[in-house]
Formats: sequence, C-alpha cells, structure tokens
Amino acid sequence: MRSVVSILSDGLMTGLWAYSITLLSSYLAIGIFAILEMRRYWRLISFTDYSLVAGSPQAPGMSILAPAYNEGATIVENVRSLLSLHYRNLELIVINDGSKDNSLQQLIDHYQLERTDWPVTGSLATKPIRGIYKSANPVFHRLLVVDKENGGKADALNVGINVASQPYIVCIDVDCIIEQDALLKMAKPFLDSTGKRVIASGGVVRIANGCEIRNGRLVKVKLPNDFLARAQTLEYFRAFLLGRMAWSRLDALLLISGAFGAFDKEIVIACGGYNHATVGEDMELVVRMRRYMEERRLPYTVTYIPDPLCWTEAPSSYKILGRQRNRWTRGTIETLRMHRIMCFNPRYGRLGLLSFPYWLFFELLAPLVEFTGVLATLVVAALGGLNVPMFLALLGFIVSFGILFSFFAILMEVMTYNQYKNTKDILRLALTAILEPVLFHPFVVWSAIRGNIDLLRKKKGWGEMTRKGFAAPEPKPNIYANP
Amino acid sequence: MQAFLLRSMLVVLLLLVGLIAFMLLYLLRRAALERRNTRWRVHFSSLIQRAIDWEGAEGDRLPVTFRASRSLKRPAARQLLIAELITGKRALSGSAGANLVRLYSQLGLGADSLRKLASPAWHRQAQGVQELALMEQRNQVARIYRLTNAPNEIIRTEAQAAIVQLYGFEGLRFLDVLVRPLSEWQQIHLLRLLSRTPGTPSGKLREWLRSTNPTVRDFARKLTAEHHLEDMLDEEIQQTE
Repeated sequence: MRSVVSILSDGLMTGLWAYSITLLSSYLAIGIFAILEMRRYWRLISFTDYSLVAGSPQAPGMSILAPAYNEGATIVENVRSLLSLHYRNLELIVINDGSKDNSLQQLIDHYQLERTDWPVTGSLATKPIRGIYKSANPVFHRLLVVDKENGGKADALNVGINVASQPYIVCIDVDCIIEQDALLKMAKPFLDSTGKRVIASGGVVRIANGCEIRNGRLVKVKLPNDFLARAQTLEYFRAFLLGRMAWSRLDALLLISGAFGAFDKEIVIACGGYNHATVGEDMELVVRMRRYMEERRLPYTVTYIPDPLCWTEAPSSYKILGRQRNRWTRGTIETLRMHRIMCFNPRYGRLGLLSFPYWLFFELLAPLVEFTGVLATLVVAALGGLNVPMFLALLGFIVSFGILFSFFAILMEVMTYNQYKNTKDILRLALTAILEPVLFHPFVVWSAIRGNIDLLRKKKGWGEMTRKGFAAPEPKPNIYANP
Repeated sequence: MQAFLLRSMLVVLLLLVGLIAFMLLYLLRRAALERRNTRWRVHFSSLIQRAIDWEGAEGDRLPVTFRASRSLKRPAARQLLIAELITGKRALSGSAGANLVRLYSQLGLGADSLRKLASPAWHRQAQGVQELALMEQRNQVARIYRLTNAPNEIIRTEAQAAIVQLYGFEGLRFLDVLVRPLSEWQQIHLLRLLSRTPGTPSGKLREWLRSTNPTVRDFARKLTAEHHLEDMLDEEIQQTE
C-alpha cells in the first residue's frame, strides 16, 4: 500500500512539475515577445502626431456604444465625460437596457432629449426598441439615446450596432473613464493598415480605484490603498503589458476587453454581432470575427494599443471579485466550446495552433490543474505518502517564479508608462507581488472552480456587480442648458 | 528531482534579486538623467530664447553661452538640444523659426542628424529624416528623396512628409514612382502639410488619378476634392468609362 501511495505521490509531483514547466516556459516566451513588441511600439509612437486626426474631416467616423443598466447615479456625468472626447467624426450612442431606475429620465431632463425617428439600418436580431432620443440642444448633437427592453449587455450592444451610422464602433462600459485622446489612438491602426484589414483594436484597461476623479475625468493616478484592488492592478499589468502585448506581436490576440474596444462594423454585422448565449460576449465576438476572416482566407489583423486608454473600477470586495471571476471563467469556457473546431486546427494558423491551445491549457485548465493538484496532495499527505521536501521545493519554485513574473511586469510598467511615480508606490506594488500568491491567487482559483461548477449547473446570469463608484462629482451648474 | 527543483528555485530567486537590483539601478539612473537634463534644459532655454530674439545680419554668428557650448560636447546634450529646437521650430515661424534653423546649422547639429540617417536602425534613420526636414536642410534632399520608396514604412512616410514639408506641392513628385501603398493616415498627414503650403496641385494630378497604385489614385481624388477640382475628376472618370 505504502509503495502504491509513494508511486502516486511521485507521479503527482512529476505531473505537476511537467505542467508547471510548460506553463512557465510560455510565460517566459510571453515576457520576451512583450519586450519586443513594446520596444517596437515605443519607437513607432515617437513618429506619431495624433492631433492629425483630431480635426481632420478625413478621419473615419466612430460610434461609441455605451450600454447602461441602472446607472442612474452616474449616467449624466459619464455621458458628459464621453461627449468631451477629442474626436471629430464621433457619435455617442447610449443604450438604456430597460433600466429599472431613472437613468432615462435623467438623460432626457439633463440633455434635453426628444423622441426622434432615427433610422435603424442594422438587421441584428434584438429585443424591441422602445424609443430613440436626440437632443434639442445642438451642443449635444453627438448624443443619441436608445431606450430598449432589457436583454443584457450583448443585446444592448447589438441594438447599438443596428443604430450606429458610422463605419467603426467603439464598445465601452458606460461607467469607465476614457482618456480624452483614446479615440485618436484607436483610429490610427484602422487608418494605418494597407495590406490587411484591421477588424478590431483593443486598448489597455487600468484600475481606477484610488485615483482622483473629477467630473468624470481622471485627474491624478494613484495606487489603490486596499490590497484587493492593488492585487488587481498588478494582475492587469501582467495581462495587458505582458500577455496581450505578446499575443499582439504574434497577431494572435483572442480577447479585447469589453470595457474598451473598437471594431469594424461591417465585419461585426457579417459575423452576426454579439452573441446572447454567452456571458463572455467580448471574447466570443473577437474569436468569431477572426474565425470568419480565417475561413474566408481574407487578410486581416487585430491590433492592440498598450497606452492606458480606459480606467475602470475593480471589485473591492471578495464577494464581487468572486462573481466577476466566476463569470469570466464561464465566458471563456463557453467561447472555447463554441469554437472548439479551431483547436489544433492548422486551417486557422497561429490562432488554431498557438493561441487557442494556450487559452485552453493555461487560461482555462490552469485553475483546474492547480485545484486538483492541491486536493490530490492533501489525499496523498493524509495517506502518509507525501514527499514533503519535494513538495515544498516544487511549491517554492512555482511561487518564486510567479513573484518573478509579477516583478517583471512592474519593471515593464516602470520602464514604459510609469503611472505610479512615487517610489513608495513601487515598493507597495512589490509587496503586493510577494503577498499575492497567498492572499489573492487562491481566491481567484477558487472563483474559477466555482465558475466551472456553475456552468455545469447551467447557471447563465452575470451576477450582481455592485460597485462603490468613483468619488461623487462636485455639483456644477448646467452651462449648456437653454435659458 | 528534488535537488533539481531546489536548484531551479535558487536560480529563480537569483533572477528575482537581479531583477530587483536592475529596477533599483534603473530608477536611480533615470532620476540622475532627469536631473542632468533639467540642468541642460536651463542652459538651452536661454540659448534658444536668445536665438529667437536675435536680430543680427546675415553673416553674423548667433550668441552661444559658455555653459551651453560646454554641455554640447556631450552627444546626449546635443540630442536634447535638437529635440528642443524641433519643438521650438514646430511652434514658431518667420524670423524666430529661421533663427532656430540657423542655430542648428551653426552648432553643427546637422552632422548628428546625418549620422542618424546613415544608421542601420529604422527608427534612427526616420528620426534623422524628420530632424533634417524640420530644420530645413535642403542640401540633403537627394538622400531623403531616395527614401520615399523605402521598404520600411516609417522611414518611407517620414521621407515623404519631409519632401512635402520642404517643397510643398512640388514635393509630391514622389507619387510618380511610388510603388508602395500610401496609408490613409499618411494621406491625412500629407493633406495637412499641403494645407499649410501656398499653391495648388501640379499638372501631374491627372497622371496620379490614373496611377497604377490604387492608394495614389485615392490620394489624388482627395487632393482634387480638397482643391475643388472635381471637374478634373469627372473628366477622368468619363475617360475611364
């Protein structure tokens, strides 16, 4: 019996070791590709004058789609902030997704909205539109508000696509803070491309917790004080400065954040718009668009801008964070399942041979492997067969590599955007990197496991995402209002 | 395996220590460079201000302070001054802008830009082109012109912009032989540069409307619209039909 347990123990350790080595090797590759891509990007932007498109009538038209559900507390301020973005050919479409609060009335009152017969040109199937509103005040001529029956984020975005009159759509979360020049930067890849069609472009999302926000604008970047938000700041460094940067280098990016992404409307419509059947509609759309282009052998690319363009409020309680990660896990599984034909399929090039398997083995399966490994270790330990020194050595190796990767992400941030200029902030980030494997990572793994279980139980919902909201804006007279 | 794992962990920990040390050194070096650049900027701002206000005769030399000339022995200082002069030149026109060009020439900064132009690295070449164009170094036009069809997109677009910046509509002659695509972004860039130039498109516009390069045709169409020459475009369409 003892030798069987011993064999099991050694097998378990070897299996975990082999998986870890593959995973860590992929992280190394990600680090190298991220450095190369970041260097290329920094050299490129030194020749870029974004003001070129700010006032140019030749700049492509963009429609911002901002779905809103029960955002009454901040909707007026958020819309004001979006209306002030620097871009000439801009249309802002706020989609009120059947809010139960007074969001719509607030918009009507504040922006002097009137019902209009706006042409709905798109043909994506959606819940019915109750009304479309435009402002009577020419100052708000860019604004269009669509009131519709509740159907979820994907449905609201599809309504926005149907209503949008511009060739490019920018899908955002209405409660995010968008940098004033974000659209100028987003427009560039679409204008730059000559050989390949740019079908989508993603931007970096950063954590706004702790930052100074005034009147819907980011005034000062600060590191969050609470550990949970700080750990997510670090996590976003790893995801956006390393992960997506590397995948962008390989032109195999599978995910553009739902909080801020620009798309070629024609291709989005050709692909059928956002999918209602998944809670990971942002990833699913990108995968479907790429699949559409690959299957038709059309030259295309998906670009990525590493500049901080969008700031979002991260969950600051374990409860909300758990719901978010649970949903992300379900969204990833649903997307990978829907497009499983791509996995290891050479027809889809790098996407099928590299990107898809990476997501499957290292994004989706990693929490499961980790959790199973912990359970199996406990069982083997209970049976008295655990090789403790070997277990500790393996654990130490994996944890120290994780910390190394986080430190590398901090270094990338310091050497590039350096948003947290205070040395104390860098030290706090370093401390977070050391504590994260104990205080943050296990919870994320557990939430992913819960996501898997919920999916097996066929749970479909988003889960309530209560946010604290940014600091309340100072009351300000409405200077645009007609006398 | 246990020993191997321990050795691996040790390597990772050593890498971690190395990374932390590198980060600290980097931060210290960056702070030192920032202090040094601030000091140089103070010297250069008075130098630039004097140049802007200068009203000397054609052959006279611009006044250069001792401190500034001492700093300029360092290549990094020269690069910083070039960057400051470019910022100034972008903001100023007329005699003030011309004085900045004169200062650039007098201090021999053109040699620095030419060194960049000869560099094998694309970003340095493109930077060289940009500097020479903004500092109106027309004697280098032949070298820049050759790059308007360069395989590297950034070098090519900077060279095209440089030629248009220096020669306005006449500079567009690179379109006659352009075989590479002209991106929408570059088209907007060229249109903006041309909007600041007096004159109208040359007689070559008809040829560009018939170019075998579709992006040149596209640009020519925009140019006709910009200069209200739609009649020419209509004629071309009729002829094509």
